[in-house]
Amino acid sequence: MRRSRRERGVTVVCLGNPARGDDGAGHLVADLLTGTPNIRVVKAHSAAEALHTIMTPQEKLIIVDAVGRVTKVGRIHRLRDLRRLSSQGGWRSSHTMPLNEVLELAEALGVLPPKITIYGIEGDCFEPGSEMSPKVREACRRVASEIRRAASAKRQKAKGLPAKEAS
Amino acid sequence: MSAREKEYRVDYLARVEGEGALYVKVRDGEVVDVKFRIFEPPRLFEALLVGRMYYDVPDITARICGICPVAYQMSSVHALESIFGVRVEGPLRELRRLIYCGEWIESHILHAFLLHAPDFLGYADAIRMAKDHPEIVKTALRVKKIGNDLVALMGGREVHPVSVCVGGFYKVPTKRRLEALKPELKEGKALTKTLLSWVAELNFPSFEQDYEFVALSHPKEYPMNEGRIVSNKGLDISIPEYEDYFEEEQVPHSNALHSRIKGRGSYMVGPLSRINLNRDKLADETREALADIGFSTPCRNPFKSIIARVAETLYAFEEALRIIDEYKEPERPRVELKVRAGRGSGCTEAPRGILYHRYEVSDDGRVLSAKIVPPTAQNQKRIEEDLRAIAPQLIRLPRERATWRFEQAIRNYDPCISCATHFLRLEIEEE
Repeated sequence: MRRSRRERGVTVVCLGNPARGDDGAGHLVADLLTGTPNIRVVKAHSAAEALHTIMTPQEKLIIVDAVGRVTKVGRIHRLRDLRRLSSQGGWRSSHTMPLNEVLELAEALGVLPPKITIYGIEGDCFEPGSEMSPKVREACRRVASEIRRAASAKRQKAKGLPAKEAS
Repeated sequence: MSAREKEYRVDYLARVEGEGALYVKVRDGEVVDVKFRIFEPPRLFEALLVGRMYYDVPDITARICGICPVAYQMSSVHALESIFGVRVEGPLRELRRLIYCGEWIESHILHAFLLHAPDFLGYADAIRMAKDHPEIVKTALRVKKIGNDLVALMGGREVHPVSVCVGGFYKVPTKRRLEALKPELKEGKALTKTLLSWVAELNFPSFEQDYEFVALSHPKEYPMNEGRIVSNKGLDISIPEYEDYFEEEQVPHSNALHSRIKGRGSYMVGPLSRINLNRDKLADETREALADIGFSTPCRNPFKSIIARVAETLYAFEEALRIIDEYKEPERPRVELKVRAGRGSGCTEAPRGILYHRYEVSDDGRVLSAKIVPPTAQNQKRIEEDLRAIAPQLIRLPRERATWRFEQAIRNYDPCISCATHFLRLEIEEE
């Protein structure tokens, strides 16, 4: 039986390096989401490494990554308008293709998902070997919970059922 | 700077891996100075390895590069195995070629289509190119993915694979797992033929030099892991003789050492050298495809290295399919070895050219010294000479165009600058 479009799940690409303190935020969200029905979780160290996943045509894409401290540690930024992603300059290296350019490439190729949300969790310390900040850890739990709730609501809606009450 | 002088400066080269810069000075229409400056900080891997156990070496050296980690693993295990008196033969030898095929595919295609091809069509980068040529870029990304899948299957993951060890592998795939990849490999082979036809139609600047091409050569196969080191100018030496014929020098403007053939000078390593020296060893479909596009050897135009890269990608698919068809699962994933003190060297064909490793270990297998000579470092001197040779053509162009062409000339070599900056020799002068 052909899968209906409404039943397609969500892909969550979680970026970062767990060996560098708060840069592990993306991977922690991945760990918290693993096993959630209808959510495909992909871990990568960089957007370039996740290039193929991001290029795969899909209904909805969520990207989670730590961001440098701008306001306060643990603050969660949600971006849906890709024009707000800051440019890190021209693509210079096969090792460091920044996220905005990966998404730009996907758009140029006509494979950008219709719905993208980027979660940026403000971190504090990104030194190798450092521990994750408690506020970042808490933010990761909130992000994972939000993604899980949204996926559940979508499933319920697809089945024609009312959304489940939050527990 | 006087009115008679012009400078072309790129402070940060784009579409190369790592951090490099370019400087060309012209006076009265003559090039007076050329510098391909690598300012990526030295990463000191040779020093890092001292004191480590031999079995750590493949995984540590793999971290030198995220694009060609297999090459570092291969050169290191061959060097260490030469110390322990071990030869890896049969299915394990074939599996080493197989994982190398995966790396050649993903590295070559990444460079050819995402870093180099935009130059030929006048695009600033692959994103701009993708808007006008989406099918080519999509095809290239699909082929690259297949290469990544092969590395992941063989090595446990796409980047910095973890299965390669001294004596063989920690784990080898079953025949069934390899067979399951064949449809993708066949798809990749077909797509690469399309890509080869496409690159053959690019506009290539007219530029040739009398290069000394250097590569491995093997009596029975297109070289990857084994062979003698040969050149088109009479060099024919065993791998242990490398340091008798090649030397490195530090130059003030670069954190990477320059290589030269003793008594001669610069040389070129990489796909163009390999094909020029080993064309007859390519598999049938690759040889036919090169004939169909009219690619003649010896080819002395470095801009046509993009053709060589895509042709080697096609060969890698043919070779991977052959290996899988003939594969018989080995009884053990690695051979037994007896650790002993000694000194040994290995040289294998990284995507960018020959990669030489030499180690000395103690009787308990601890590294006492290490020497690593990556292909990009070996090509540096040749790159500067190309820039000097092409400059008279380019200085007649508008400055922006000329600067771009200088950069393109560097990108002919697919430089991997992070690989090249693993070493720094420190001298302290006391007054």
